[in-house]
Amino acid sequence: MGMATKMKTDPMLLVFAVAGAVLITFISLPILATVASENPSDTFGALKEPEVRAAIGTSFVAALVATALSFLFGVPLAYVMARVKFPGKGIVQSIIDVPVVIPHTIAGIALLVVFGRMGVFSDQMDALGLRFEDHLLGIVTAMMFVSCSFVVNSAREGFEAVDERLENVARSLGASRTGAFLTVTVPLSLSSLATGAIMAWARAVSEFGAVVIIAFFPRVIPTLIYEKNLHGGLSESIPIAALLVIICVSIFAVFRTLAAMWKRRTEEEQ
Amino acid sequence: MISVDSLEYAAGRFSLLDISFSVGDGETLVVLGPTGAGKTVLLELIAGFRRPRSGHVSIGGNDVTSLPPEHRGVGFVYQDYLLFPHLSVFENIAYGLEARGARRAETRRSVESLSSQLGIVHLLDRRTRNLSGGEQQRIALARALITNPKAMLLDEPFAAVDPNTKERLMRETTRILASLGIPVVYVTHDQVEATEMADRIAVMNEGRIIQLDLPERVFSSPKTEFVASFVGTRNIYKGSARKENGRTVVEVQGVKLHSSVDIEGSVHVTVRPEDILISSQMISSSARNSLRGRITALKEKGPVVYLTADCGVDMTAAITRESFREFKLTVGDEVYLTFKATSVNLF
Repeated sequence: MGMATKMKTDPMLLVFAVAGAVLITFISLPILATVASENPSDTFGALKEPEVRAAIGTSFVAALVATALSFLFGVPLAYVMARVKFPGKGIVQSIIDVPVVIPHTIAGIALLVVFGRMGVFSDQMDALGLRFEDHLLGIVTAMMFVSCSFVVNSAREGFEAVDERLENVARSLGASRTGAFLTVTVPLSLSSLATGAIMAWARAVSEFGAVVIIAFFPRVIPTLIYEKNLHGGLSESIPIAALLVIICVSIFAVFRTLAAMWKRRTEEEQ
Repeated sequence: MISVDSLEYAAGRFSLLDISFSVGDGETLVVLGPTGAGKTVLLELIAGFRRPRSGHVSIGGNDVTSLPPEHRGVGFVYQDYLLFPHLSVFENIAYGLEARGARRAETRRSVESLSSQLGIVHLLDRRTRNLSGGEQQRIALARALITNPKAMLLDEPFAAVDPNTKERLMRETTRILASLGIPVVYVTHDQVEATEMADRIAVMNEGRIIQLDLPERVFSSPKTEFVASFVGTRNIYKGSARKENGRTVVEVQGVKLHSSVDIEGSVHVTVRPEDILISSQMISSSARNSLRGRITALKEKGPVVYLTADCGVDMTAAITRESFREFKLTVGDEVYLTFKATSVNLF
């Protein structure tokens, strides 16, 4: 209520609110228009096409695997970044942030340089029978590259918010370092870990640039939409786009609600 | 027994230098010093949360310098208690037993019996939020004690307890700790707390122990100017208390004092200098102590003047600068020192 009265009386806040409203409209209008321009039966009808279902499957599974791998390597890194002072820490943090700042097509090219058929590790990968180009493995790699920063940064923030002395107490009571991490630090940073996972997964699902360079096939949803748009125009791409928007926004909403509930629970407890 | 031998520690510009002491079983060593003296760091070094640059820590006769905290068997209570916020009170207290893989039934029995000793059984099902400082203190103590530690380290454990319950909790905590017969290191910046808890006091400043002594020695013969100014001037004596007509009378070096504390036997006696009234004539009252003495020293310190008089025992009173001027007091004058029985603290 205090907020509402302030907005009426304070000219600056009024201007800021208008500016904000423009941006919110800018974001929501295209998305709503996409969903609304198709009738729902066409949108969900797209689900019946095998190539759409395959693309959704590829996207979601690859994003899930990429997120899991980011977790496996990123959470330990986040803990070290949150707890340990070491020389070159700033450089390490910059490296963590690189995937967010470089153009994603460049990320794709860079991954090809390392994992491609002519890449740095081509001999070793041939020997292991691994293939990245035009392969699910390549898609997972590209998705992981562009999304792992979210896991690391969010987990780091979560760990930093947990008082290190809680871990000290746990250890004085007989818990090992790992025990204290698992029974004290992780439960208290669940909401940050969940937020990191959602952000990473969403980023992975939406990735096109890096993915398409390393693997056009099997098609992920963005690739399929791009292809449909290229060959059949908007009429063919919109139903799939609308479908993806609905699915992603729903998943996002569910996880955000869960994360908010966790956060509220931990905050109430703290 | 805890022994700390030539312990040194450095982090940034902060350092601890040449810390050596030992604390016997059943003994409480109070580390007294201002904020930033390094008291908490010292406790954390003993507990193994930090690694020393050099020196040794041994607990129960074993050198634990290279052992991680979980293998030291030391109970630790932080100033702000740091109860695990995601666990219930029961789960907090049970944590140490569960970390050791105790059986569930056994854990429940131990938690309940210790909690009833500490009067916190009714809190076991609660979450940790909305608990009073005193309740949190008790829970933190129970959580540490349940593992049968070989030593207890307490970092200002009464800092967040309201003054009304503080006295009672301190007495209870002293009783519980004494019954365990383990060494206790207790950190505080409060001299009153220090005198009430300590068998010995280590005064600490800027990363060093300046004086390690019996409480009465720290107060009566401070080794350095810092100790003197930090502990202030205090009246602390050893005496023997007994009942006379249902009232407590304590005898200190032949001088009888009335006290309202219900205790008998060998005791420590303290009287706050601020509680003593100075007058040139005797003020008579059955509930009051009134001693005649000759002024041996006058020391100005800020807005107060510390007046020390030989009344059979040396006793120091704090008077305002105004009344000091008004009475025109000088060394050698005869004065009466009057204070209530409730001002004579025994422990």
